[in-house]
Amino acid sequence: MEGGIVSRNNVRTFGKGTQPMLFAHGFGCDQNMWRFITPSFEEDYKIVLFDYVGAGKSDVSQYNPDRYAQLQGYAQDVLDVCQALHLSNVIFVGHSVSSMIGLLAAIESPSIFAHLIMIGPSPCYINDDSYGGGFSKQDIEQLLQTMEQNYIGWANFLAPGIMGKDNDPALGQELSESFCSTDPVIARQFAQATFLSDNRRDLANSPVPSLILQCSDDMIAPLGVGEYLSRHLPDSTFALLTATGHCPHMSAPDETIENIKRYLNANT
Amino acid sequence: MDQKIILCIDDDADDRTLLIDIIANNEKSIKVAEAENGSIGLQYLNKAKDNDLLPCLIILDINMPVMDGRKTLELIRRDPKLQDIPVVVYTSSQSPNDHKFFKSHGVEFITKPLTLSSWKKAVDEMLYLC
Amino acid sequence: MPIPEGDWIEAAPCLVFCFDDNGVFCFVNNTFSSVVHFDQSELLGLPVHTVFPVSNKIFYNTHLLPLLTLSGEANELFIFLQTKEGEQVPILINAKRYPAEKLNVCSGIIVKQRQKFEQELIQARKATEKALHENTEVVKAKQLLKEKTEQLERSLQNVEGQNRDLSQFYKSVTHELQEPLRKIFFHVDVLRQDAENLGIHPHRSLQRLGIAAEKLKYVIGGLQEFAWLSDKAFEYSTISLNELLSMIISDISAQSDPSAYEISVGQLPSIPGDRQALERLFSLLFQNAIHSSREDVLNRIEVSAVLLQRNKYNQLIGEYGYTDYWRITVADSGKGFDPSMISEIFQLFPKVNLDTAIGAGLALCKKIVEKHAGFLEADSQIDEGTTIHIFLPLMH
Repeated sequence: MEGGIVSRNNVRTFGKGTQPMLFAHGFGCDQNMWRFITPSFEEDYKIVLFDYVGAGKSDVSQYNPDRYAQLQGYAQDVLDVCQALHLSNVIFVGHSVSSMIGLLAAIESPSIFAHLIMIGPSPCYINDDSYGGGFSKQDIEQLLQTMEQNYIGWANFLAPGIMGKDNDPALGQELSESFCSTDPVIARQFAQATFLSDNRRDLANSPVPSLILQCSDDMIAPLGVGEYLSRHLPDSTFALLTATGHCPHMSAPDETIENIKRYLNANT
Repeated sequence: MDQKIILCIDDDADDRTLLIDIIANNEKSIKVAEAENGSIGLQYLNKAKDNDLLPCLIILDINMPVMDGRKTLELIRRDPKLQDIPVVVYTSSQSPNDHKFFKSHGVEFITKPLTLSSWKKAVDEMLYLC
Repeated sequence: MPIPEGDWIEAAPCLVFCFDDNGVFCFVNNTFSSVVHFDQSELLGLPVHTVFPVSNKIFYNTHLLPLLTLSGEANELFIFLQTKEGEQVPILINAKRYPAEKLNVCSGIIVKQRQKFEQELIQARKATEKALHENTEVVKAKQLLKEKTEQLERSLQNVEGQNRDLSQFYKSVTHELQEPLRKIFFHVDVLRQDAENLGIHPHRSLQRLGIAAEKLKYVIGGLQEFAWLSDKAFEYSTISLNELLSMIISDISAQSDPSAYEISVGQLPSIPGDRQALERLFSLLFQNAIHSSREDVLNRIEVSAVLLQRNKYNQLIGEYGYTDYWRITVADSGKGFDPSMISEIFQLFPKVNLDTAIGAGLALCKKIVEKHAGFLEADSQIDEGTTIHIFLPLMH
């Protein structure tokens, strides 16, 4: 079973340290998104990278639409990886929706985790009477439509697990080298699970300290949301980055690394 | 004359004490060592190996916590220094499975009897193996 | 308008635009500007998502930018642009990143017709899917399948539970009852004979007889309660756990030495349950926790609750249905036990090397929780304490 999880989730471990640092990618990509960050932590930590089932080079045949229709199914992937590798005292680094996925995993098994580092987190994306998540339901619906439109031409030959094998070899090669390769049907379902999720009730149950990395001018996780999190996540540290956009670990890796290191030095 | 030692591995304190009393009454020269489960029994045997004080007989119960009789016998038989020590299983179990298992390992199987005189007879049989 | 002198980019009927790493426009061509109805000068210096509708802004952040940053290019991406008046224009773009200059250059074409066609394709596919969905026969069959799956899960749980119960009963009868009986026979025999010669005092035999009889009573009591619990039909009402536990705790402190332990109870929910059974459950758990107190260390017993989601199918593999459960945790800082023995701890009369017998207590707890459609998990470390997690579904 252990070997099964490692190949199912394309798990890679490296690094000279003993304390595990587990990086969880966000929606829309795979573990490659961390490649500007991990070199700065390799010396001191054991780095663990993985792809959620359906993303990157994970085993797509294991995708179960009932399981992954909600974030809990993804949190189970995180727990599966931790259990397969017998990890404990884990520093969990999650981008975007993975911040909440990490929170769910930590609530489920508090003894495994030591810290939650959240990059661009949001507990709920849709506005309601008293909360500003940033989007209306129609916005999300149009996003899902955009995603469908982006894959419509590919839907046929991109059947799960067969990316470009039987078709134009040049295209196939390009796809296999594409870093954000994700089965389009699964990607849309992940988007749906992400943007329709509401984890506000789980915040108070966080069993470990956390770091919230908030970008300036991030329209997916706007400042108001970061402040909401900071008020409702117990034992949390809030850090405002000068980096803009939603992916500071790609657009501003130095600032991201510096903030993570500062937090870890102060809290471990 | 070298003092003979018998090792009694049984989680029931009463039964151990009873055994000691009966043996002490019969043969003053035999010393009885006790262990309340297989793991502690093996610890004793390992120490005995080093001091060259191996028992002449092991009386083994089956149902014990931490390590039961079957596992204990397996480990004893695997150790070249211990495998020749006679073992008798002395248990309240009447299970035919247990009986078959230990018989197949060439171990005498005695069910703990219900009367004192039967106990004395059983102890005599055991001492004979020593 | 004549072709500007040699400036083919301005003349081209496709959109050309360029933005820096901060997402700010540094060039747009004529065609781009005329599509979005902004002047070229207006756009320079503005962020690109000025001309994106909200959904596009998300897509830009989650797909376009990562692709550009990691692969250096993004091809055939479909996006919407939003004109000054708010109208949406479908565009197909290719983008290329120049890392040295930190610039991203994009070209795009309007695909209104194509988009219409693609929309029709999508709608057609959706209509087929919808027809399939709404096909009453299919719907009925799906519903039936779901119900049968749930039934199967429950049956499997029942069968599993019953098998476990039966084998525990068998073990208990063949071993736990026999032991004290054997002792009784033996000591009665001793008393009948002149045992003094053998150094066995009648006084001791009488004592042992008493103990054996107690053990018999205790084992039979445990078995009886276990069987009764299995048969009892639960009567559900809404139980306030805080109120229930206060009552149990005040009963306990009247019966035992309160200096060895300290119980603290957090905010607990009100849940549907059988009051009598839940009272027994928590009494047993507290008893167990208190029994495991260490001599020189205050035993801190804490009760807390967390709402979370768990897969309700734990017999069927590959079936998923996440449901809300209350996880109620009773944690003590007592003697603890070897974590490898966890599965045995919940058997009727476990053989665990503890100073005080666990007896039927935890097996009864497990039965009560499982009859509430919940489940139990436990963890322990020797000399640190034991944690018992009770999962009870929110809905009965």
